[in-house]
Amino acid sequence: MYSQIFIGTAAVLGGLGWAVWLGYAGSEQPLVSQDGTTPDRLMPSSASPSLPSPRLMPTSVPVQGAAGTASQAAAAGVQPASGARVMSGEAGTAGAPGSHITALGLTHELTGEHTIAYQGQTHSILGTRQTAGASGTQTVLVLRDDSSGQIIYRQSALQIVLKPGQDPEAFVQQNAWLERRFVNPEQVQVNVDAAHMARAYSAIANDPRVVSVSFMPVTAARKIK
Amino acid sequence: MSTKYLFKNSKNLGLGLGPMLRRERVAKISSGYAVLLALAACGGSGGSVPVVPAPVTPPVVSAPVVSTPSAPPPVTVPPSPVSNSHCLDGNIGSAPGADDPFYVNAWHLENTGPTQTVSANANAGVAGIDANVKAVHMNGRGCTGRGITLAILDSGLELAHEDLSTNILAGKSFNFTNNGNNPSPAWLSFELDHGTGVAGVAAARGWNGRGSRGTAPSVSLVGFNVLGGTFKPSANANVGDNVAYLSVGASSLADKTIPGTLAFGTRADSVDIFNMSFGVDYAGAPTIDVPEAMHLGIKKGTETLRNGLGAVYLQSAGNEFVAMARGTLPSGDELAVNCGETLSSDLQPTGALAGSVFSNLAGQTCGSPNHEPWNKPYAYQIAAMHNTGKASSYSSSGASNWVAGFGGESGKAEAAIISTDNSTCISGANNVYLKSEFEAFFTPLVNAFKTLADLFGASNKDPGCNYTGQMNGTSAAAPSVSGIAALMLEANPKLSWQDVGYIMAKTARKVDADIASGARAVTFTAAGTTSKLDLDKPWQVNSAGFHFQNRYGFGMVDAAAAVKLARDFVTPAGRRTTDLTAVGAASAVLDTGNGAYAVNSAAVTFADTLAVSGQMRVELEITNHTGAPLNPGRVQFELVNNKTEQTSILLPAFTSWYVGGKTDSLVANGKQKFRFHTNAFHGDKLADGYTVRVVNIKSADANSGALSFTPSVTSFSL
Repeated sequence: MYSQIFIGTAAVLGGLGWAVWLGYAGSEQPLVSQDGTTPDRLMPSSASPSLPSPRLMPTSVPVQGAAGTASQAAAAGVQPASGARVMSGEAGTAGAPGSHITALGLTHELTGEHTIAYQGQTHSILGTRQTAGASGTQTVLVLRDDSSGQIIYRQSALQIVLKPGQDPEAFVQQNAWLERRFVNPEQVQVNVDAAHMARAYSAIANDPRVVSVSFMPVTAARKIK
Repeated sequence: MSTKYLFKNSKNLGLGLGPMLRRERVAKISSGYAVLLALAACGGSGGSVPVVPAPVTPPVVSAPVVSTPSAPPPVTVPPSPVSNSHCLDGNIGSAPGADDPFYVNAWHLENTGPTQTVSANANAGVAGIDANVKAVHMNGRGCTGRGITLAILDSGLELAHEDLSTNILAGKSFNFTNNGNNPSPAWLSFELDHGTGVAGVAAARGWNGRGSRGTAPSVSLVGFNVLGGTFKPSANANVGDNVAYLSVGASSLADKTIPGTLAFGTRADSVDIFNMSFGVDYAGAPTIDVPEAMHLGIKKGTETLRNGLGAVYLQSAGNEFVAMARGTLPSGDELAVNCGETLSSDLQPTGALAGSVFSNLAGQTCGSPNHEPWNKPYAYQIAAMHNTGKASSYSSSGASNWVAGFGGESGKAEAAIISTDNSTCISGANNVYLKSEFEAFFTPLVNAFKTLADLFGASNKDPGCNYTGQMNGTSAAAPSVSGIAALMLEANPKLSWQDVGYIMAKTARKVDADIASGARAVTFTAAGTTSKLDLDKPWQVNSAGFHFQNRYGFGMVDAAAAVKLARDFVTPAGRRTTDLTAVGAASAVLDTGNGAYAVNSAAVTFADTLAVSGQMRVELEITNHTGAPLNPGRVQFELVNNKTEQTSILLPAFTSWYVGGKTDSLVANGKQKFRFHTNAFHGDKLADGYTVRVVNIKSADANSGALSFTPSVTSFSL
C-alpha cells in the first residue's frame, strides 16, 4: 500500500522543511498505477525551459515567458456560437504587467522562473486564476508546456504516492510548509502556495520516499441528472 | 423536479432560461407565502412538517380543497424479514393492503398503451414499454426488494414521507451538512427535493393505499445528501473527497481526522445498492491525471462490500443529448452548450463547417456518459426510456451506457414519472402556488380520462400534495433500475455486482429497432467529399450474442426476465479476477475521405488469447502533428473488433467538446490524454484483436490531420 500526498495552494514554505526536503537525492522511482492510470514519472526539474515557437499561438492562448513578457497571443479564443460563457473573475489585476494576464485570466501572476519537469516535459508555472462554477470558487494553477506552448490547468495541488512503510502524517508534519488537507491509507493531500509550487514539486519528485507525484485536476461540480 | 425539467428541457425553454424562470418562480412564490402558510394551518399533509403559525395576510388566491390525510406511520418501522430465494413463488408475507392510487397511472411499472391515464395531457405510450415488474411483485407477495438496502446518494431524502418512511432504515441515513442522521430537505421548499423524488421511483412503499410504487416497493432505504448542500466544513480538510469515500461505502479510505468520518462510521458498509442520479457535464476533455475519490471509493466498494460480492452502483447517464446548461471546461470555467445550435450556425455559408452535411443533426448526441472518465466499469450507466418505446429526448448517448431505465419526458405534453414529492401542499414541486401548472395538464377538456390523474390537492388521489407527476430524467431512470437490482438480489443474494450487470445486459430488451439506420442514420459528410462518417451506429450484435446500441446500451431493462435468470444464475464461463491490459502499437495514419478525414489507427493485441472480455477501457495520449490547433471535438474515437469488424464509437465527433474545443484546443505538438469506455464487446474473445481508430475531421486550415498515440486497452471481466 502506498500513500499519496496532495499539495495545494496555501502552504508556507519553511526554511528547515526545504532544507530537509531538498536534501534527498533524486533517483528513478517505480511507477504505480491506480486503477490503470499512469502516474507521473518522477523527473528532476529542468532549469532551462525552451520557449515555444511563435507559430504555436492558437486559441488556447499560450504565453511566452513567465516573467511578465507581454504576449502577442492576447486575443481571446473563438467564442462559441451559442451560450454565454460563465466566466470567472478576470478582473482584479487591471494594469498588471503582461497582457497574458488578461488573456489567461490570471489573477495572480508569478514573477521569475518557475519551471518543473512534468509528464516528461518542461512546464512553466505562470500563475493562478480564479474560476467560479457550480462547485464554488477555485484557485486554478496555470501552467504552460514549454515545448508546445500548451496551457494546462490544475489545482495548485499535488498528489503523491509514498513508498510502503512511510508514515504520511509524519511526512506532512516534517514539512511545515505543507498544509495538510487529507490523509488516508493511500493518499495525503496538502496545499502549497503557487509561488513555491515549482520548488516543492521538484523536491517531492526527488524525494526517495516518494513513488509518484501528480497535480490535482480542476474540480468539476457534480450535478443532478 | 421543477429544477429537473427547467434545466433539462433547454431546447424548449432556451438555454439559461431555466434558472431565470426558477428565480421568477421563487419570487412569485414568496409573494404568496402567506397563502401557503394559511393552507398549512388549514391542514396540509402533516408528515414531519412543523406547526406553522396562522397567517397574518389574507389569502390572495383561492385555496384548493386540502384534506388532511391520516398521519403517516413512524419512520422507524423496518421492512419485512429477509426472504429466501423463492420470492418468485409469490408466497411471501400476507395479503397486500390497499392498492396504490397512482399505480394505474404509472406507465413505467405497467404500460397499458395510449388509453392509459398518465401524467400528461397526451399519451403516445406503447403497451409493454415498462419495467415488467408486475409478474415479479406478484401483488406484493413476490420479489419486492425485501432485505436489500438501497442508498440514495443525492440532495437529500425526506425520511418521514408517507410513502417512504416504512422502508427507511432508522439511524442509517446521514446529513453531511451537519453530520447528523437526517438528510431530509428543509420543511419549506418550492422545488422537489431531488433525492426524495429519486427515492420514490425505486422504493415508494407498495400496497399501502398511498401514492405510487417503487420498482422495489419493500427495499430498505437510506439517504446521504452528497449534492446541493454545503458540507460541514473542517479546517484545512478536503471534506468533499471525504464525503465521496464515506457515501459509497469506502469508509476505510476516509480521513479519520475529519469530524464527519467518526459520525458517519460504517453505516454505508451494509448497503447493497448505491443509486447515483448525478454526474459531471464536460464541455472539454477533462484532466485524467489521477482518479477521483469517488471512483476509488466505488472500486473499493465492488471489492469489499457484501462480503466481497461487491455493492452494485448505478449512475445516471446524463440528460445532455440536446444541450448542457453548464459544461465544465479544462480551465474550470463553465460554458452553456447547445450543440445543435452551434452546428447549425457553423453550417452556414460563412461558418466553420460550411458545405458539410449532417444527415440527421437531431440524432447527434451533445453529451455523453463517456465525457466523464471515472466510475466505470464499477458503476453502471443508465439511460432513460420514454413510454413510446424510444429513448427520452434528453438521454445522453454513449458507448458506456449499460441499460435503459425509465425517465419519461416532462410530465406536461408527454408523460413523466409519478414519484414522491416533498410532503404538504406548501412544499415541493407540487405546492399550492404551482396548482395551475399541475392542473393544466389534467384538464378534463383535454381528455376526460385524465381527471383522476390530477396530482394536486383537489384530487382524492393526492389530498396532501405529496406526489409529483413530473419526475423525469436519467435521474429517474437510474433508480428504476436500482429497484430492479434489489429484486434480483432478493431473488439471489449470492449474486456479485458483476452478475447483476451481466444479467441485466443479458435480459435487456432491444427497442427502437431502426435507430441510427436508414432514414435515421447519423452521418457527417465533410465539404468537398462524398465520403460519409458514421457518428452513430445502429444496433449491433457482438460475437457473444449481446445486442448493443450507444443510446440504449444493451437495451431496456426487463425485471421479470432479470429476476428469473437471477434466481438460478450460474456464473458465465470466462469470469476472471484480474483485469487484462494490452498496450497497442504506435499509431499509423491512414488518410481517407478524399482528404477530409485523417484516420489514425493502432492495433491492440492481448497476450491472453483464451480470455473473453467484459467492459473495455481505452486510454491514449494524443500528440497533435497537424501543424495547427486541434479541436478535440472534431475528433472521433473508435474501437474496432478486428475479426467481427464491429465498431464501437467511443466518442463521436461534434459533441459538447466541439463547442468547448473552440476555446480550449490542443496546440500543435501539444499532448492530451483521453480515457473512454465501451460495453459493446461484452463477451467477445480477446483473441479477435482490436484496433483503436482516431478520426480527425480536418478543418479548412489544417494540413496533414496526423496525430500520434499509443493506446492502452483494458479488458475487465464480464
